[in-house]
Amino acid sequence: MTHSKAARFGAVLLDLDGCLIDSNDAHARSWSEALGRFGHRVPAERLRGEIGKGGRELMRDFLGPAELYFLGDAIAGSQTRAYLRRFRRAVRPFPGAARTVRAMRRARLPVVIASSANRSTLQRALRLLRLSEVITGFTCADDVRKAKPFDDVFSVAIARFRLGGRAPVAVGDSPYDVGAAHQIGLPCMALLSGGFSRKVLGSADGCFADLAVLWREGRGLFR
Amino acid sequence: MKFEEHLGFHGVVLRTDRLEEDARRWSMALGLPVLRRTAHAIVLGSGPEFFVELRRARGNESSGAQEVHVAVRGLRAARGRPDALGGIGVARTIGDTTLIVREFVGPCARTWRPARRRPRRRSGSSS
Repeated sequence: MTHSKAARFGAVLLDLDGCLIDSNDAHARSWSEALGRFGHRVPAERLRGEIGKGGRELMRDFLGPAELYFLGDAIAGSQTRAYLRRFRRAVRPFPGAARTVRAMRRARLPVVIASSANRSTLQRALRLLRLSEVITGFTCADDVRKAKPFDDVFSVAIARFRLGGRAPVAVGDSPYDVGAAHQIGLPCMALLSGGFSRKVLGSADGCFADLAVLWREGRGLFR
Repeated sequence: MKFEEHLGFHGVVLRTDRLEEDARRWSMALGLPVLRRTAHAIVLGSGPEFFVELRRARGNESSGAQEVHVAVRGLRAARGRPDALGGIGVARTIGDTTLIVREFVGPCARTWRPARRRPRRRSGSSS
């Protein structure tokens, strides 16, 4: 565990995939399937490091501009359908993650899910985790023009839930979370549970094995 | 014809009595490769997202635009199975031209895909 700042955070902007649910591999395989259906053969292993970006930002690396502009929605829709088909058998909650969110809420911390996922996949995950009624709210790709690695998901969450004065902290598993948070001066705690290496997450303000460990070992960071 | 958002023109079908010559000139002007070729038509483009199709004019048909294809988001009247371009759309005849308004919903037929499409990858992308 490392963390560079002994701040007292008063709200949590929490990523979903790789933090609450073990879904990054399923997302990578679904993107590979969807891109393949549209004629782009991209192995899931190659896409794995891109998971955490918004769909349009991910596709930008593999499609031409016209294809992205005209077919982006169709490809993203195909990915969503492929992911939801996999969801039941391939996606699992991380042990202790939902319990940790409940503990945060009992400690009177606002917890907003701030994800680049679209609304349908996010709501499916919240039902799996039984957190729909627990969290303060969520922002997702449908709420913003540009998802991670841009800051919009976090910015909208802070504005919508009036968290600006509460010293919020972002918690994510990917370098795109860290980059997006830092664009607006938001500290970001990184979790290794999403499969990104400590080196890739090196610019985070702290690094923990998973959400439960962050809450247990980093409890003093929070109000 | 109701839809939420107009994305733009993505294709045009032109009648011509100089098929090969016009195809060459359009290809050079827009830098489009030949996607498909038959005795009566040449399709230029990289896929359904942007194409120019030239069809040989028959009999006393005049040269000019035969079809104009427009992509939209949230097309309400769209029904049925996706067409060969991977879209669901509606067509309307306006004068001598057919306007086709389409929402892309799935992959196109093989005939609309470049023979060897390779994934693009920008250098410097983080992973």
